Amino acid sequence: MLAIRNFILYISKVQNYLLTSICKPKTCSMKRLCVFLACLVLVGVNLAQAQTVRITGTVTSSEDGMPIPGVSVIVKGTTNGAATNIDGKYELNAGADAQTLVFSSVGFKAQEVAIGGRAVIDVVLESESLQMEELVVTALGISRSKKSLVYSVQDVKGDALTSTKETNVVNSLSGKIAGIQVTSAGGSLGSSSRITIRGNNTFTGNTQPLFVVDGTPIVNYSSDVTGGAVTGGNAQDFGNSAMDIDPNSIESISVLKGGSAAAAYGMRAANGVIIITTKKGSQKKKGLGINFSHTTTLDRVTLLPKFQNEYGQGKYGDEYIYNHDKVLVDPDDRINQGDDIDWSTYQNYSTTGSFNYVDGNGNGIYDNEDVSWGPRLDIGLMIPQFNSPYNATTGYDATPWISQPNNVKDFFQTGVANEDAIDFNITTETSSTRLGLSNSTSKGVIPNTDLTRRNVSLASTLKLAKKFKVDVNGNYVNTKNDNIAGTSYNVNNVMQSLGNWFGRQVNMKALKDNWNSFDPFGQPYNWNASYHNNPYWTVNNNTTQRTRNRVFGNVAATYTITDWLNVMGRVGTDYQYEFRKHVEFDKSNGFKDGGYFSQRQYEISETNADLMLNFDKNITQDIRLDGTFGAAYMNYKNRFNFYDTRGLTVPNLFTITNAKANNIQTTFQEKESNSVYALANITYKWLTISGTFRNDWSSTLPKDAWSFKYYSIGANFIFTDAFKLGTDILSFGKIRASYAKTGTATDPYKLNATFGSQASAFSGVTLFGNSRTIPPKGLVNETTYASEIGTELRFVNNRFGVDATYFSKKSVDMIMDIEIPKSTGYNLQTINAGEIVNKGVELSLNAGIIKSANGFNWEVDINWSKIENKVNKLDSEGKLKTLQITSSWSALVNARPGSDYGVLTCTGFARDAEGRLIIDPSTGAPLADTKLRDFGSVVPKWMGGIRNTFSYKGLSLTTFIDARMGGKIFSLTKYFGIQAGVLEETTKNGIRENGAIVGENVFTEFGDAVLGQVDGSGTLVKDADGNYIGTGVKNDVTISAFDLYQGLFGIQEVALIDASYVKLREVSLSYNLPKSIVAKLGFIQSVNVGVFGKNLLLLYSDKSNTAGIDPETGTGANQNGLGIEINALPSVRSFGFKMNIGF
Amino acid sequence: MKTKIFSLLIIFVFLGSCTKDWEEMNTDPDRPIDAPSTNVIADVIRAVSATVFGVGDMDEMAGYAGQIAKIQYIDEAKYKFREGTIDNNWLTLYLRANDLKVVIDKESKSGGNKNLLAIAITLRCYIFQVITDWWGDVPYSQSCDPANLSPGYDSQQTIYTDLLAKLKEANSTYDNNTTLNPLGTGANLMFNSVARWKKFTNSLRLRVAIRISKVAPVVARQHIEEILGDPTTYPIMVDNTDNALLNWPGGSWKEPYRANIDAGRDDHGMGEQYVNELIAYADPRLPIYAKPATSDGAYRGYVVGGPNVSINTISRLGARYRDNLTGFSMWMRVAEVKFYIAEAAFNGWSTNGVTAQAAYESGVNLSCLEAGVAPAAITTYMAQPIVAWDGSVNKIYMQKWFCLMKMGAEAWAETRRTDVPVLPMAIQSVFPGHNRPPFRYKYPQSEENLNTDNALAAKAGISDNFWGKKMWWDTRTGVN
Repeated sequence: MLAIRNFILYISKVQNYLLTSICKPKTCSMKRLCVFLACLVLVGVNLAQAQTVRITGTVTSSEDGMPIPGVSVIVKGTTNGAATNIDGKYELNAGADAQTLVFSSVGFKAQEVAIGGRAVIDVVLESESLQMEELVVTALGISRSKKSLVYSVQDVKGDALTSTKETNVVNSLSGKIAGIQVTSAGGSLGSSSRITIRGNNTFTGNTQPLFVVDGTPIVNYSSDVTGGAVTGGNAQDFGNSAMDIDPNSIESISVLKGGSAAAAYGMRAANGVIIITTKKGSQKKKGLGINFSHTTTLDRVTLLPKFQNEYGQGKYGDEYIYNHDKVLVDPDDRINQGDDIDWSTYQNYSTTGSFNYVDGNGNGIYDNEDVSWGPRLDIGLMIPQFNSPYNATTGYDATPWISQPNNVKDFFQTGVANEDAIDFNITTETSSTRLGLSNSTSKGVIPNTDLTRRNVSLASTLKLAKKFKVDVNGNYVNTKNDNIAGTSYNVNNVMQSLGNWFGRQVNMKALKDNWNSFDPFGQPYNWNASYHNNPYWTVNNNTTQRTRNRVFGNVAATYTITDWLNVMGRVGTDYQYEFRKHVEFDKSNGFKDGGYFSQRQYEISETNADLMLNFDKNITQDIRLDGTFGAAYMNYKNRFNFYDTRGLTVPNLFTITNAKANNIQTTFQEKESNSVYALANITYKWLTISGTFRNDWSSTLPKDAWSFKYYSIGANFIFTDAFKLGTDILSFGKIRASYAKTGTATDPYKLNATFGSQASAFSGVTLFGNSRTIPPKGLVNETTYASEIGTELRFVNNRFGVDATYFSKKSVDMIMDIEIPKSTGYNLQTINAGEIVNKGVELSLNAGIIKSANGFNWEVDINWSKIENKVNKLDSEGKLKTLQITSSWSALVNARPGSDYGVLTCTGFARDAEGRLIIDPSTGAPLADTKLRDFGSVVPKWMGGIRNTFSYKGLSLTTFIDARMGGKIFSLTKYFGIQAGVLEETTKNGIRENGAIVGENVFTEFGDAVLGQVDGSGTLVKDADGNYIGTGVKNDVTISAFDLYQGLFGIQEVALIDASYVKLREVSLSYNLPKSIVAKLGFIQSVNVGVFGKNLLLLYSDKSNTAGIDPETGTGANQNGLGIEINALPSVRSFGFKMNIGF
Repeated sequence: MKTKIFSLLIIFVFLGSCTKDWEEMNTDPDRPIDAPSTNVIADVIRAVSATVFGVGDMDEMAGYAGQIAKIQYIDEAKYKFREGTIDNNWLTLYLRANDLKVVIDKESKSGGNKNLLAIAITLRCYIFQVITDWWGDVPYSQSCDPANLSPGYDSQQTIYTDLLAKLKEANSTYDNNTTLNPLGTGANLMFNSVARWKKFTNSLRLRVAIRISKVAPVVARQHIEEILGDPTTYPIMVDNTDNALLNWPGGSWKEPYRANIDAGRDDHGMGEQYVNELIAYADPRLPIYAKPATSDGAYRGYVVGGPNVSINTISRLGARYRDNLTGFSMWMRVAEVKFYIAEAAFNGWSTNGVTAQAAYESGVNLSCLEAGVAPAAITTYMAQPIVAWDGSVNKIYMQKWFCLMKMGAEAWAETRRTDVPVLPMAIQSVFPGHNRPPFRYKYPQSEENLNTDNALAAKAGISDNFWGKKMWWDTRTGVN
């Protein structure tokens, strides 16, 4: 007993250390109380003494009668147990009052066996075809039989997560779980994924679910330097920090979607909970087990925008313009009114009126233009270009003007990712431990971008005494990028130029070969000196590095008081420190003063402590009561330091002491919460009633509102059991229903108005401004009411299964900073307001189409969900008509009472009553609507995925198709890509040769076009409402394609696309070497090899996606990028090889 | 056992209620509840300088005034607006008006700093004149009030009347006891003495009064005569050392046009009409205001909102106005004050004995001196018949237009009031059919979304966002 006492002292020291080292000393004594309590509980260990009985036995498989190693044998209601060894044998000491043993193992049906005084209990386990007794990890890390749950939970097992090796584990969930939407940000290594469970619950706040690892929440901090919709400046996507979790260490992920499931996690669970259970030490055999895996993945860019290859850089180069203008005498009648144009030949016209490179800075003919409205390619023209030979007296020589169809594609390289993981499993009589090490290094498809991640994870279960065990989970993660690709509408995003503003004739190889040299004018070697960097200059010189070091984990001590009661104390922490540095070289576009750099430091910590009293008792033979009383404490801190400079004295020396001026910002945030909760389930044979209650106290709310309570209630009814309906056709059926109320608090410091200061003083004078946000009056917690009803049916001996859920969720009193009229002198006001309703249906189907124990198997899993996301109210008085969720280039994503969430609102084409475009008869250009119009919601109508798994003996083939239908996107790639003339549609139907007639050879997808009505003086007439009037006469006015497309700025409708898609997301083939062969290898236990491909094909995309972008697109993890595509980095297609060897 | 469980439960309940120090924890340690007024005033001066005299948001006032033309990103010059730009201008001006309201509320309490109060009133009047000159009827009396989220709009006439009263009040608020009422480092950024701040206050009142001199001559005359008739009570700017300007320190706070260049942009050229008129007047300020075109060394402006041409053929702003990291943003020049006096005298109003000619000549002289023209060249210039005073008020207007270099907001207001020079609509306007540049700036969409009833009522009578309902003080006829 002394050893145990010492251990307890040690544990309490560890806890004390964790707490005091992270929290400032003056905060309340709650933590100390917690520690004290934990000690109290632990000290209680020695009070419980009981008689024990020794039980032994062998576990075999019903299929082949062979012993099964690694079966968990647990005394029911306790954590006391053992695992079978390689020969299927086990032995354990059960309490004298122990009644039942529970045998469970992956791939077999769990079995409960009454002890009945026996000392030897042999058991035959049936293999689990459809996992009827599937255990899922639910709230608070409690594994429960799925069939008794009152709400819908879906989980994904570790091997399905690693089948294609996603770096960001969140991406592995896409399409595999009904009702969740994962949006990843394209081809940038380590970028964010936005995950939404059962629709958007908030307008401006965080929609991200809570991530819980082994029972303790972790920080899923997402700190894109700027959100998706921000233009200008510097922007990178640094990913959401849940991506630090090593997929190799994950045993399973459960997604708790509804309020009932989430009530146990309190206020941060309102958006759902992602519960990650890491692998624990193998219990398959005593001694040492080692697994090694290696994966190599090759990434290639796919889905580049569809570019044209007929006209190069410049302006007024349409053959139509040349032919139109050359016959005119009065220069004012010409389309191209430039001076000194030689109209004699198209060749001469080209170099005098359309493009002629002198210095790329505007001193030639449109040589600084970054649009492709210049001379026609591949017809033998000779034009001076940036990569032509240069002569000091005559400048650049004329060289052949030829197309470069692959210039953008050639910029990208093959990305290579290598991942090695090794884990050691050590199992002894009293402990099982897993040590996992992994190292992954990735080179991006964008040159000079990378990601390195090293994970160390240690999970250990120590049975220190018969009734006392300690679980320790620790993870260390080092995430490092030497350079992260730029995103957003930003000069450091290579796609801003390559995808939008580019010369289609630009020779990429010349840019690549010379990026580190300068042109004769001292400018960096480039195709354009005014607006862009050479993309190779950008990726090699203007880099963003990041290092994150992170430790997270927990220590949990469980003491079994009796076989139906245990108490657990758990302290977990998540600490991360991140350093980022962005540099821009001198002479970069935008930074001419010696260069620029910025540094950001983040120090984030979160501590969670829990104390739980768990009970599980069979009151009678048929009635079981189980549940938990608990208390929880959380403290979160976020310290952020920002530094940047304006101008460097020694060019390209990126140190603070070399800076000409310093800008500094520091912020610190801290919040705390306390909670008490109770969960209880009462089960009578085929009926389970579950309830939860929770009271949270949050430091972020006003004193009179910081305590708030909520609850859930639900029932599960297995009607096949109740009415003895089970037949060969319908083998199992249940219905479930639940209702939950969940509360949420907010961020710190919302309650007071404070003055803000500028990042730099002005001639020594600090600069202060009043708060831009009106603080709230009488702030209260947010509330979400959620109800769901569902059924789970199994047919034909469980071969086919259906799980269907209807849910309805209403979120009210959202705490948000809403825009108010700026004439109030403020920008925002913090209020409790709004009502968002999400209703939907989720369907999962599982079919074992072909099943044969030793032969061919074919299994199909289908997930499908449809969500209706509506805004009922914005503010309680109904005064607020529109709330802007995000916007980009005047395309607004709005919330409006009575409408779908996220309505895309922007300027469209002016149309007549029949919906025909109205054309300005004097120019032939379509007119812009005088008022903003709604173009539908950004939220998809439905989402789904189909997974087929074919297996034959050790061979397994999986295909996964993912679909999302509906939802609008404003595509900046299309918006500017057509204005810049780089996209394919700008050369279609001969419009650059013969001119464009709207409604006839261009924009026909927008419908017919008619002429607008003009008055006597030729001025367009409007009706009383200010709308243009159509004459009904079909448009026949020819306009140059150049004028037409360049005139589209301000008409965002041209760039709206339907984001529907169907993708072949994954194909993987893996082979388990037969045991017979492996056995000959001696010490090797298992060998698995596989190949896989992911993001293989875009099978379907809407016809409105003429730009050819990836319709599954997003930027950042927050709402800023919702419904908006801003020069997304092209998505990648990956092929990989993996192998896994067990020792 | 039962007791043990029970006591655990009791402890659970106590756990949840431990909330000591939370109010302190939930107070931002990095941001103060209050800040010194002089530092707030400093940031107002900086922010307004960057907004009204900057280029960061591509605002177009100097283009509407025909002085400066966009040569890249020409959309706005063609009246294709960026909603965000408009909203941002509206936002910045109102936020800063509110900052000053907070200062005024604080310093008008007993024991408050009278000089900072007077300065805050003055700057707030300056901001509101800009706001109303851009948008016309705007929230004024009900603005800057966190309790009123639907501020009603005041007519421009109401606003102008109140601005005149407020500026008069500010003048009498100043206190020479700077020990009790120190300016502090912030207010010193513009003027380091109460006397000079006071001159600015009264000169601004002249500017406000002269703007309404055509529509409300009686009121304007009363204010102008009051000021000019009592220079002791109402001192005004008398020479170039009195000019209201902010000198940028460089470093983090570069002069906005230069900062724009350092950000890799080259968006602005000289307006064609401005350059052509300066050439026609053989104006010695031209080589200072503008650089010759790099292609041929000629001074050549660019037609506002025109088609693309090779930008090397266009004159950029002179080095003094766009190349200097530590350049200046000019809020008011003494030369303008002379032109106000000249116009008042021209109107036959009492100007304390100063003739229109004397004031006019003084204005031209001071403007040229301020630009750095040699005195001899000024004499030559002023001797030309096209410049020499001949009793025509249009000469005052024309010279004021020349004088208001890089003061687009004021130049746009004055050209709307005087129609001198006559300026055309941008030639590639997306709103065809108008014969003058915009009468007004487009109201921000946010106001229509968030203050709907008031904003829609104010919008009545506007056509094509920028035309229709004129400013109250815009008495031009035959314009559309």
